[in-house]
Amino acid sequence: MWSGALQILNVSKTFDRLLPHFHAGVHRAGNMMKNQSIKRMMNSPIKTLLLAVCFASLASCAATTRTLDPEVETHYDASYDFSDKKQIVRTLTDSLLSSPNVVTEPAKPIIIVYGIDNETSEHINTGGITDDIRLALINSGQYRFINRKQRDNLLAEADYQYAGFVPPEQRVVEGRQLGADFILSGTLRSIEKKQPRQWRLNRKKLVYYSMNLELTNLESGEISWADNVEIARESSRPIIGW
Amino acid sequence: MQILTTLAAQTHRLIVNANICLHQTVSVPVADIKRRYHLVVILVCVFFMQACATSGALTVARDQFKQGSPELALQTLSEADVSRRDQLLLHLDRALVSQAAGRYEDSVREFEAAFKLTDELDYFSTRDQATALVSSDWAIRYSGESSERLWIHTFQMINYLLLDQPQSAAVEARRAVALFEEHADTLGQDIFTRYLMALSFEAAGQRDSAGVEYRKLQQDFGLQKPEPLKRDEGEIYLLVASGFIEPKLSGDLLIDLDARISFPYYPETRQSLPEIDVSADGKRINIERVDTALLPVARSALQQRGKAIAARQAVRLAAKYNIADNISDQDALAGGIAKIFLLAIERADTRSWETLPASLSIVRVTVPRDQKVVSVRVDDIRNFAGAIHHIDVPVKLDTVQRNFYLIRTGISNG
Repeated sequence: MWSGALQILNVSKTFDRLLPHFHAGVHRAGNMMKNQSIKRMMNSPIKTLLLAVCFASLASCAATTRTLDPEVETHYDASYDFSDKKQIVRTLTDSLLSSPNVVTEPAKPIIIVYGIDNETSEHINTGGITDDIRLALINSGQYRFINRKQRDNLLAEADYQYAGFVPPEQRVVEGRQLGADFILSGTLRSIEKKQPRQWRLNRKKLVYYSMNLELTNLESGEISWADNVEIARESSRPIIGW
Repeated sequence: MQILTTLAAQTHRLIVNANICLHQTVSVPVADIKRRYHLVVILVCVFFMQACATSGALTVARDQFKQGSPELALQTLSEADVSRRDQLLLHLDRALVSQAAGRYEDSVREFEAAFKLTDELDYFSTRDQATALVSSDWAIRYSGESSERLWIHTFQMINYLLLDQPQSAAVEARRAVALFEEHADTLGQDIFTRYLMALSFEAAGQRDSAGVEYRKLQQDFGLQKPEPLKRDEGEIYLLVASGFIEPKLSGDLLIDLDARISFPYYPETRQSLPEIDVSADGKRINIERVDTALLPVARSALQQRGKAIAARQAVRLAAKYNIADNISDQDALAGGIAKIFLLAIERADTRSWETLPASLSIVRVTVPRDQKVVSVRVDDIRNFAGAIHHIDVPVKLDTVQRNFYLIRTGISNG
């Protein structure tokens, strides 16, 4: 039996190294248990432990649902959430609308959105940020937008109309789509750091987000406007829990 | 079996005695209360004995997958009622089988669920630890070895590259970077994942990050960045997952007649890398390849956790000694039974992600952009359930210069 067991032990080098200490520790623990006073002391916690295990099997929590006000800043942890999106959109839209670098009168500049690159370690749908910025800029009345996502559909619809199914007077006139003056693009980046594993009750996580947005003049290639939003947050969660 | 029968008879006798005490006496004597307490201890032990096995549905689904029926395996997994302790394994198996079945979106969802679960389980659960203290490590919710946590991101990168979502692949690459930083010594040898990270960054247009990964690959393995392509050339990246990783085994050591420690380990077997040949129009094409055998990485990750396992074993053994001794002092028979039960439920936690392949390979093939198909021969006959596979890989390089293609071998129908 011993030779078989030792053969298995050879397989695991870690256990091999730890075995002498482990063996001695177990025997020390066994001898300590023979001490009646320690035994009495341990008796009560073990009963409590067993009771706790039984209660754990029975315990359950009720599910709840509540409606949140999206305007109220809410964070459950350090990760990106809808409050961050709101802050990013609000800051960048205000910055662009108040920038003297882009002339919006008398002609309203036409913008095409080329999206925001996600260079974070979270699956963030950055389309939500550009959609909200576009909406705010359209509602301001200072900018116009080209619907890039619908280009294929526009082409297909025009082809259909010119295929003979639609009377000539009702067909869209080709060659009259708007040309963009500016490209709106940007990058969302993050730096994330977790506290190393040590003996402590809580583990902290630091997250830094940087959202950069820029407006590039299509004719000259010049960046006419750029701004960024920074969000740094620390969260802490217990290492020990139920 | 005879021991178990004897134990069952003894337990039954105690239950009958306890019932007699309950029914025949109005005021219950202190001795009987103690006896019933002992009975509870024994029953708790019996209860935990049933927990020492991977959920049955997972075992069935894994067999179905290995036998070449991924769809049947997915059906089994979708209907599976799996213990909370094995939820991570359920997600991992669903994700990997979905990927092998070509259901990449489903696979993405399951891997993301697995990733979130590993994050949630990254704490010291007093409930799990307390239960494990009187039973075994099987009572703890499985949170995956560091290697398995890394491979969640590896297979997610594959999913996103196949779905042509390079930015999401780069997100997974960054998550993998964080794990490499945390477990550099154990995971650093996974060259497949590191190369895939570089490819993911490159595909997302994040050249700086890709450059960093290529530089690290050169420093650590002498691997050169691929030569730039000519305008009329394209490249195919074949991602080959071959065979199945060996499962963890249980090692047992009897320290004393009534003391045993059990520990999980990976066997020292050497799993072979597959031979891969690529040809086009009957002519063999030169390939560049990088490979990772998963078993050594998994073994390193398990050994890294060895001290924690051993520490828990020591505490558990001391606690079990204490319980059995306490019972023996008051009732020798019940103490003896408790001791045998406590010894019996001491079993190594051999749970692992068993649908993982034995090896992962990246094969780079450079072809003219008007090439329509290449023939791939994968010989993994030396691996478990291995065979020689011939696959015609369609090439679509009209609008792009790079294609990714996944080949999963090892399951019976290849």
